[in-house]
Amino acid sequence: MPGDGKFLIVDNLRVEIPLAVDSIHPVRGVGFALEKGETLGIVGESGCGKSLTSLAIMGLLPKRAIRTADRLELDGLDLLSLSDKQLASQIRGNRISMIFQEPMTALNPVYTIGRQLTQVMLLHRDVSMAEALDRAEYLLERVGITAAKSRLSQYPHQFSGGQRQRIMIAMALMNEPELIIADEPTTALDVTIQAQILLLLSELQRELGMTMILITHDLGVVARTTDKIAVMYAGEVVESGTTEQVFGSPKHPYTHGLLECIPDPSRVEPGTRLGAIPGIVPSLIGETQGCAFAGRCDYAQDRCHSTEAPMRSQNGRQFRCVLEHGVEEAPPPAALPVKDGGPFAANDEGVSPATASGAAPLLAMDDVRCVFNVRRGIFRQQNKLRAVDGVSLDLFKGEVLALVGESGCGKTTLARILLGLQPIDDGVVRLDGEPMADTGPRDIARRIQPIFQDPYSSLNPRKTIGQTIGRPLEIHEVGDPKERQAMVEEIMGLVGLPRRMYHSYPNQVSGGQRQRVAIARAIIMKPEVVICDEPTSALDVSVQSQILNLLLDLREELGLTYLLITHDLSVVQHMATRVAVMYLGKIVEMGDAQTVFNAPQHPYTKALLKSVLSLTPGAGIPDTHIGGSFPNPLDVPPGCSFHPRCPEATDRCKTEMPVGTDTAAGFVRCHLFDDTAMDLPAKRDVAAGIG
Amino acid sequence: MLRYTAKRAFLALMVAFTVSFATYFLLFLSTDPALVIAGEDAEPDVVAQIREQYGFDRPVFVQYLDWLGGVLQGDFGKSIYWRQPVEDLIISHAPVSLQLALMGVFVTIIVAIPLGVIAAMRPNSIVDRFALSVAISAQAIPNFWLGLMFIILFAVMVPIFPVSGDETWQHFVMPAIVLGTSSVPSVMRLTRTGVLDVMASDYIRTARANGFRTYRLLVRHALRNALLPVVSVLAVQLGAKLNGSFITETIFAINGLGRLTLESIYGADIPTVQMLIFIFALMFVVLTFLSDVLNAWLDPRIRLG
Repeated sequence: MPGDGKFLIVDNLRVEIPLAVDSIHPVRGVGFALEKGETLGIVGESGCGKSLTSLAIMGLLPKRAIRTADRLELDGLDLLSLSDKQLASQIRGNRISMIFQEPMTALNPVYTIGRQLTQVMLLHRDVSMAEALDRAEYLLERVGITAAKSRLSQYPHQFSGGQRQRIMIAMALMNEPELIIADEPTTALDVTIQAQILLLLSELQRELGMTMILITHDLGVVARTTDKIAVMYAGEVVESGTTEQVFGSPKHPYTHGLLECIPDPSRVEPGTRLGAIPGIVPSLIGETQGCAFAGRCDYAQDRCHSTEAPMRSQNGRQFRCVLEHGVEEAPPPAALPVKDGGPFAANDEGVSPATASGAAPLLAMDDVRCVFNVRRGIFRQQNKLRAVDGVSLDLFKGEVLALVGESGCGKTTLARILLGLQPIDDGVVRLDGEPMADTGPRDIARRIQPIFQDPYSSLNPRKTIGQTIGRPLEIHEVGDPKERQAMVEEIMGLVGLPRRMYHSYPNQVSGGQRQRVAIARAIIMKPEVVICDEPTSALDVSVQSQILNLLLDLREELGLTYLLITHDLSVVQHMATRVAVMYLGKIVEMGDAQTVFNAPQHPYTKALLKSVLSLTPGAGIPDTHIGGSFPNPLDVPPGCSFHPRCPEATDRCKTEMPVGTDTAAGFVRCHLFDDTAMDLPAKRDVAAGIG
Repeated sequence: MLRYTAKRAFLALMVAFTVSFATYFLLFLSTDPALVIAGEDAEPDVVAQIREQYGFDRPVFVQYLDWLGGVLQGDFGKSIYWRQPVEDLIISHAPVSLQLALMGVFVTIIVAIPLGVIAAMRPNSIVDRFALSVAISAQAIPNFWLGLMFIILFAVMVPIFPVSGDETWQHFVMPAIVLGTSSVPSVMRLTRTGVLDVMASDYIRTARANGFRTYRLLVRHALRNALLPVVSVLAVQLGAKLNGSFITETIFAINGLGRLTLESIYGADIPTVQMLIFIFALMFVVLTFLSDVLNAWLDPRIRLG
């Protein structure tokens, strides 16, 4: 029998959820086998059955769901024969542990960390409370929570998101499980924290010899930390093999497509179009006919729609496709959507960044400050939250300026200021040289438009897509209803929305289409600047690439200027012409995108760049060398606000905030560069004179 | 925790003062007390004499301070209708009402919370449907009708409990059930929703993935979260039972604060009514304070904010 002697065997696992008339089949015959100590990555878009597969192994499916499998064995033990009671008492939390995605809600808010950790051990082991507490303390220390003993009596809300995820890991390790299933363990975390958590997980796994299943949509994470990969699509494993095999030479068109979607500079030239998988994951209701991916596949043949693709085995790897040898040997699909021209240089006629030419900026912020008074309870003193603390920033026509930084650094407040939605306390914002304060809100709205992160909540659910896109025209009293409809339909065509969706409501279209609606609404008044606040963070990588392509096309066609706010540095690297790095309300580094990415100056920028996980199979997780988590913006450290996390901090950094220097490579706010100021001979002479 | 309690207590005190001020003035705005005492047909000079005798001619604010000073020293004024000190009236009527209200809430708790939990554990099952129908019936049946039915069934036809009065604890059983029933629906449904929400939460998924199930899962991980909103509602329900059980007290001839209020209003007894309203309002203030403190004790996010 296949898989005999393996540690974990899953064969032909199926999940069915009966509905009133039909039933959903979210998992359709999944199989894999793992040796002890191996790591398997399960990847795929959302809705492909990744999480349900892991829940099915644990026997934690929703009550109505029906699970069947040919084999489901853990170290020779048949999990299918165990009752729910036996699974709970022997397996869950004992031999198999899970780590979930949402660290903010996955811990019980009303009980102490110590209680939650010890309970897991007391449930499965015959140990005393004192022994369980010792173990909890040891594990907390091990996962990097300092002063563990005193923190055992604290509650989840007293820890940061990253710390909570560390506690989740400690909880999963309480009974020394043999198998750990981590379901998107770092998705909700900032990039720097993500790297720390992944590093910790892989260290612990090696140290304790655990087997691990890592479920994620982040292919960079998977490539670097796993031995094997299973690519899931519509409830099936469409390709599996070693990580090197699958990512090195993908055989299945879906795997191939997914990898093409990633804005990875080692594979795709920045600024060019990314690959895309058109369409969405099909509905999983009822039985499918033929290959589930056929509808989105560039290589699809007639028979793909009628007959199921065979599972092929080659050199220990499997893929399910009609193509006998996978995508490699097939002719490249008609046109892999790479537009000629490529990088930004192609954008002549004024679209090329005007920074160097000395042109006047379109939008300019001069020493802008925005302070929120935060009062917690009527008797407490007011605290000042300096969301934007003296930011000077120019946005030139035609450029894509990316603003990066961890959550809480003030990115979104800055966006709100530029949209004219947030009054400022000091400084001045100029639009085309005119102070924005003198410009009416309508004028601002016509010239600067936003695209927000969440396409689910940024559209009014009671308005049709046509109404939503046409609303700015109504507000600005453009044309009559008929002309307006024509304009809306034209713009829908431009952003790739089928015209039949004019009368649809947001809940009737997919997430990617919703984001297209938001883009259409933003550009219908032909604005000059579009402020994109995390425009693709809520989307799958396949949809993200479509949206990024669209944004690049629109920029070229309409001569748009973008301020791109995101924490995803691979997106930045792909899209931006210039980068500004923000930390606690201040710009710490700013410069030409290529320069910043090739030769970052500020230690924070360096750490951020290190935490970008490019698709390098087996490369492991880099240590970013910055400790701790993002500080509380209400309690900004004195001196350089980055010094507590900075590997290069000196005594001076603890007391003195660097003013910032213009070096050859751009602006940087760090004491390391105080003496390297460019083109300021006078200053250097003075310094030399004193020396 | 101590800090939080002190803060809440201070706020409650502030509310209590505001309430006392408001009740005092509203009653003055609504009527001329001298005219009420003297009677509708009294001669103007009689009214004037009464006004002077009772001090109604002084500025309202002075009267208020005078009244408040008295209240703080335990002098609640003198009842016009009952011809005795208001504090004596309240002391003699309050214990009965308190006993009735506490027993009523007890009935609510032992019926509504288990029913809500069981319903939530098996949503849309027969048990859930049964609980829901109990809730709807309890909501639909008027108190007075239920009271009368109880008297007919359990006092007249099958004489288990006394028909009316408030001498022994047996006298309180039927009224407490009637009174408690009225808050079963809201508390039960809140419990059900609370447990359902919590059972669908991420931390319950975590607990299940760690091997907890059924009873342990409910008691050790879910119940405390689910009952947080119920505490506040129970406090409000208790307040309502303390103040407004006019109907139940009337049907079962229980001589509590409800009936005292009713009769004082009929008797145009301004000092008594004023004091009762103030005390009723004060009860809500106190109960809200207690439920805040209890919630803070149950929920560290409030306590440690």
